[in-house]
Amino acid sequence: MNDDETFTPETIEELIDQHTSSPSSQPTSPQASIIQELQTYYEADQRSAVRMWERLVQQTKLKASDNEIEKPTAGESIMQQMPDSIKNRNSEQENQESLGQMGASSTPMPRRISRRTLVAGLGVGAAALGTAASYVFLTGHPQSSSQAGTAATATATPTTAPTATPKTIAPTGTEPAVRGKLGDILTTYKGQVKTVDARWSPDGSLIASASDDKTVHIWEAANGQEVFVYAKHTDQVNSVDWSPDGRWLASGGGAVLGNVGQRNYSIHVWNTSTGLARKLSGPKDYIHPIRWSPDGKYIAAASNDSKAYVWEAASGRLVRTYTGHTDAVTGLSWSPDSKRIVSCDSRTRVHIWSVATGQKILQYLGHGNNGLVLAIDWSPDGKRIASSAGGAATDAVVNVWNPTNGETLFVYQGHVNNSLGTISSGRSALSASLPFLPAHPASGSGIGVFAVAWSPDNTRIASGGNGLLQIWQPTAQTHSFTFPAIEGAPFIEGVAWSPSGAHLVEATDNHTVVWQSKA
Amino acid sequence: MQQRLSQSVSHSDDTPLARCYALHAIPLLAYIRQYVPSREDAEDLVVEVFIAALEHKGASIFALSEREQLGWLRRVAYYKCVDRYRRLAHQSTVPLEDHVQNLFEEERLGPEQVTLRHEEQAWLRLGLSQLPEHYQTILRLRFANGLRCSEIGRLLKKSDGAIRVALSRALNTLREISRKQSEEQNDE
Repeated sequence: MNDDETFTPETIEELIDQHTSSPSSQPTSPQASIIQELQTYYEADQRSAVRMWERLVQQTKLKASDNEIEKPTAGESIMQQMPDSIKNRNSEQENQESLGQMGASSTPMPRRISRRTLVAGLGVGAAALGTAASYVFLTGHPQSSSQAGTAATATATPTTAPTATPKTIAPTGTEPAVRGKLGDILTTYKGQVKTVDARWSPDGSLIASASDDKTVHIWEAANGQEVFVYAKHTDQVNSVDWSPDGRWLASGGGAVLGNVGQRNYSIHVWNTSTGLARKLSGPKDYIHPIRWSPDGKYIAAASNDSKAYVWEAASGRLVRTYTGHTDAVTGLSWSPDSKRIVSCDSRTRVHIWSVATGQKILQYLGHGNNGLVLAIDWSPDGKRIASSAGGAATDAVVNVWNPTNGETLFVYQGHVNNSLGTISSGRSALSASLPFLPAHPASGSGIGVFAVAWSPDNTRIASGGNGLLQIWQPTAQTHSFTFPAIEGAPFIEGVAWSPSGAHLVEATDNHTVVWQSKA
Repeated sequence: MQQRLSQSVSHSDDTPLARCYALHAIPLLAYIRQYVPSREDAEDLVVEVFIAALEHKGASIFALSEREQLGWLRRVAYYKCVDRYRRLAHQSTVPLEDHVQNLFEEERLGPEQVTLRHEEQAWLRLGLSQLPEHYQTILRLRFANGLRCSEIGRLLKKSDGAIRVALSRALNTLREISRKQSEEQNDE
C-alpha cells in the first residue's frame, strides 16, 4: 500500500469528515472510496434497524390486541416490553442517570453558548465582531458552567410526576380553544428551565421545547402536562422542530468543552411514536437553529462553523453544505416551496440560496455592517422576510424586506429603547408611538431581538427582545400589543405561533409560557 | 458497557425489548445476511426472531446475559434461515418473461442493479466480519452514529489518540482487503 493511500491517526478524523461531507460526489481516491462505502453500508443498516423496529412495534401491538380478547394478561405482558416513549415516561430519571454516568459527569461541564451570550459578549467590549473575538468571550465566561450545572440539577428532580396512563406521543389532538383575552396566559410550563426554543406540533396540541439542560420536553399546550422527556443529547439543545406530519422531531445543539475550546455538537432525529433516534453528522461546531422543510423532505441547520447544512430527512444523508457565509451562521428559514433557504450570519450578511444547487441567489445588506443578524423568518406566503438584529453597535430592530430584490420595506424599532434596565418594571419604554421607520442604517442602541416569527396568516409578526414580546402588523405597520414581561426572564430566546395563530409560545430563561394572541 | 453504548446512540428506550433490540438487531441482521443476501428478506427474519423472543416463555430471554441473549437469537435466526430455504424449495418458479413488462419500472429496482449493489457490499461485509470486535464497534460508532473520536473515547474509556489509531488500523485493513479483492478480480 502506498503511503498516500494509508490512513494515519493524525488525519483520520479530518479525512472522514472531508469524504462524508459531500457524499454525492464520486470518490477521488481509495481512501474516499472506503469511507463512502462504509458510510453507505452503515446508513443502510440504520435504515434497516428503524424499519425493523417499526414493524416489530406494529406486530407486537397487533398481537397484544389479539391477546386482549382471549388472554388479557398475555397482552399486557407484551405491551410492557414496548419502549417508554410509547408507554410514556416511567423511567425518565433512570435514563438521565445513565446519561449522567456516560458523559456529563466524566467530562468538563459544557460551557453555555447562546446567541444572547454572543451579543452580550459584543456589548461588554469585544472590539471586533470576528469569530476570534466572540470565541474568546464564550470560552472565558465565568458563569457559564455554574449555569449549566444548575439546569442539570433542576431537571434531575422533575416537577411533574409521570402519568400512569400510557399514551402515545404522536400528536393527534387539537389546538387549545381560545379562552380569555389577548395577552392572557394560557399555560405556564415550569418543568424545564433555560429553554431556548419551543415549537408547536402541527396539530397544535403539543409543544416541544429545547433547553440548555440537554433535554427536549414535550408537553400539552392546553395544560402544561408533561408528556415525554428526550434526554439523549450529550450537549445543550439549542433548537427543536417537528416534521410537518408530526411523527418526527429534529433537535440539535452543542457546546464548547472545557478549557481547550473543543467544539462539540449533536443533532438527533427521533420518532415521536417509537423514540428511535438517529444522529446527523456534518457540522464541526454547535448548531442553531434546526428547521424542517415545509414539504417534510429535508432538515436544515445553521452552524457556528460558518456553514449551513441540509440533510435528507428519510435517510439522514447530508445533501447540501452551504459555504457562502464567512462567519457563524446564526439563523435560517425555509421558503414555503422548500426550494430556497434564507440564512444570516454574525457579520450581518443575509443570503438566499438554492437548496438544489447550493448557489447564492441574493445577498441582503439592509442590516448595515455592524452587529449581528440574530433571527430570521420567511413569511408563509413567501413574499416577505423578517430579519432581526442586535449587537453593541446595532439597533435592536426587525427589518422586513422583499426576497425577490432585497429591498427593505420598513424597519420595526419597537424594541430599541426596551433596554435591560427597564425589564424588571414590566412593560416599559416601548416606542409605541412610532415604532416603524423608513429603511435606514442602524445607529446603535438596545441589545437585540432574538426571536421573530410570522403568524400563519401573514398578518402579524411576533418579535422578542430584551424580555418583552410584542406583536405588530407588517402590512398596516402598526404595533398591536406588548405582552407582560416574565419575572426572572430577561431574555426571550424563542417564539412560535400556534397553527391557528390564536396562541404564541415564548421560550425564556426561566420557563415557557403559552399566551393568548388573539383578542 | 455495550448496554450503555446502545442507550446512548440509538434505539434508546429503557425496556427489555428495546435494550435487547438495540444491542443485537444489527449484529443479528449481519449474521442472517451471511445466509440470506437480500436485505429485505433478512429484515423479515430479524423481525420474526424478535417476535419469537417475545413469545418464548413469557419473554424470559430478556433476563439472560447479553452473550446468552445473542446466542439464543442466533440459534433461532439460524433455524429461521433453514426454514426459509425449505419454503423456497417448495415454491414453484414462474418465467420472468411472463411478467417482465410490468416489473421494474425503475431501473434501480431491477435484478441486475440490485445484484450489483449486493456484490459491491459483499466484500465490505466480509471485511468487517474479519475485523476484531472492538474495531467493528469503533467503526459503527463513527459511521453509523456519527460520533467523533473524542466522544467514542469517552464512551469506551480510551484516549482520543487510541481511538484514532484503532480507526486508522481498521480502515487500513479494509483498504488492504479491498485491494486484494480488486487484484483477484483483475487476475480472473
